[in-house]
Amino acid sequence: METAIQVRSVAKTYAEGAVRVAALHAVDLDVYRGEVLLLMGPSGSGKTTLLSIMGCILRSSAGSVQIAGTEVTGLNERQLPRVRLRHVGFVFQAFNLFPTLTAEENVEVALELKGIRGTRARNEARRLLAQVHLADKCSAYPADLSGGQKQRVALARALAGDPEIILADEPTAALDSHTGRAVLELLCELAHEHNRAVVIVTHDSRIVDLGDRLVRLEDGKISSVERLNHRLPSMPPPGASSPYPFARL
Amino acid sequence: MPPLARRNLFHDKIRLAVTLTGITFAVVLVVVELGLFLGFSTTTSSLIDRSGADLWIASHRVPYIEQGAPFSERKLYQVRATPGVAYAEKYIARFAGWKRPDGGHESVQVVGFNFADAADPQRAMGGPWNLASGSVADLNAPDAVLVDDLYWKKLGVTRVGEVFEINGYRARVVGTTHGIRSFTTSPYIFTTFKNAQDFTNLNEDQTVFILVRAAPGMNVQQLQHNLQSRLHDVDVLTTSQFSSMTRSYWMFTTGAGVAVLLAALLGLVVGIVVVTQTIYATTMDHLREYGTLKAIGAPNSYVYRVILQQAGMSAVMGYALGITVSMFVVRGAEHGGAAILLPWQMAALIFGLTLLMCGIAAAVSINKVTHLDPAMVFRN
Repeated sequence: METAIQVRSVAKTYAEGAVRVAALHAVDLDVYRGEVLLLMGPSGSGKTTLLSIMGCILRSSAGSVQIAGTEVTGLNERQLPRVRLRHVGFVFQAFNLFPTLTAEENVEVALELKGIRGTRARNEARRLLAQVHLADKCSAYPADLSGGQKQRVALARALAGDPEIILADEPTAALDSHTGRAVLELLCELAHEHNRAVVIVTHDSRIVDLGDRLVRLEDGKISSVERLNHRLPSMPPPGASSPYPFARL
Repeated sequence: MPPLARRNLFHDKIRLAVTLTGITFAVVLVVVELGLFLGFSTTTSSLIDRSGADLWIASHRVPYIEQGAPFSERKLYQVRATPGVAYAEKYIARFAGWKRPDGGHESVQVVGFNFADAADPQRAMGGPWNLASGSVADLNAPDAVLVDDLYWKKLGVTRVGEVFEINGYRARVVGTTHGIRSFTTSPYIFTTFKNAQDFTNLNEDQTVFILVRAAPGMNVQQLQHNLQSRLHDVDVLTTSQFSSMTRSYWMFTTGAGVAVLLAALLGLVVGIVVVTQTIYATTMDHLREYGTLKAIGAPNSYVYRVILQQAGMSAVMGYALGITVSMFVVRGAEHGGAAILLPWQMAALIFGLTLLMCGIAAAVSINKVTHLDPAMVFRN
């Protein structure tokens, strides 16, 4: 399978005054296109930090990160947003929709950032909203949508410009279990049927069966990697040439 | 582009109202103060600017028109004999005492001009303008005067035809002008040169100024130079020089103009503070959205554009409201003692200042957004 994200020996240390807090220690991880990778762990284990680094929102203190084959570790503040824009779609726990824009306009903002404007953007926004089963809510404002619908709008926005990576931070935390599951099924569909790499940070153990791999983090380190779904035949088999054991699982 | 800036602006109606009130207040304050400055400035030199003369001859070192000192009218003949002079006439602008019917006294400025040429626009210099009732021809009487209707109450005038006293001489109101304000508290009283000599206790052979009009094609500066070299103990000034000296004296030497300018500046500063605070607060309200924009890959320039659009729209709406209110203020001031002028050039300048004010306000918000960590979107 094609590697979408490659993380090598990534460490992250936060400095607050004289105090230094290590959030990640030498993390190695590969994320493949077409898979749903779940990142789990207790609060403060480094899940969101790792997600932020994989999304080029945060810079690692050490190690290297490749996004769609591009080494991003040395990129500056002007270059990193371009990588995010081109390769990564984000889904946030609190949806982070623009409350003053309609569902369609929320998606159009992301499309505009990617250079798609006017009628083309409108048509594409409608298509994406239809893809997340919200074709009838194009003109609705976020305040008029349910939590699940908001998250699906956020998902449509994340899909704008067809990024190969979707990073979702606790996408079901603000949703009831039924709605949350529906959103996750949508994310799985995007991974499996549209060959995207989907990384989901979650606390919700009830959704584990939907992922392909489960990576557990503890104290900034990967404590375990479980292969949950055997529908990934082209993944490198255990013992193959990759020196990174977690990447092979 | 999705209308993020417009929607953000109109989303919170109360905040929008506060923002627009701040900008409107600042615009009105600046219009009133700058308009007063301009009105004062124009008023101080209106007699000079409206005289129709090219050159003014005054006693040596006269700093402004109200300070003119008498000199012999024989100089008039020397002036008229100078090549390049088309017309030259005696002119008086001098303080005098006006006695009201109730026995009260008011100070006035008597303006005496050559009545004989007043009807001939080619020759007329120094006469009144904006006649509201009566005519210049009505001044053809030994006691006739024109009073501006803005000062009727001050001078105790109730109708045309009333008789008063100026420095003990009988003065009869034969007509009125409208809107000829005096910068000092002494209203202008227009009359013939001869009457003015009496009202201001000048000798028959004395004048206070000589007004000169250059012959067609004559270079005014050259004529000024020629006259200055022929005449002694007097200064020959171009109209713009004398106007500028008078304005400068009243506006800056007395400090009156500086006070008004400072008030205008204060208005601008208050406006900037109010608008900065409200636009900054609006930015803070939408900080998470800006963080989201940055997280999904928007460059800073995109976020700046949203903030600048909000500030620009606020500026245009606030300016439109402010200038509308200002027009009512200007209209209201037309009937008062202080003129507030609002020429289109000043309106354009204030539009520029409003944009600048909102631009500065936006810059403060932009500074905040520039340092915004997009990772904030993961914090709840």
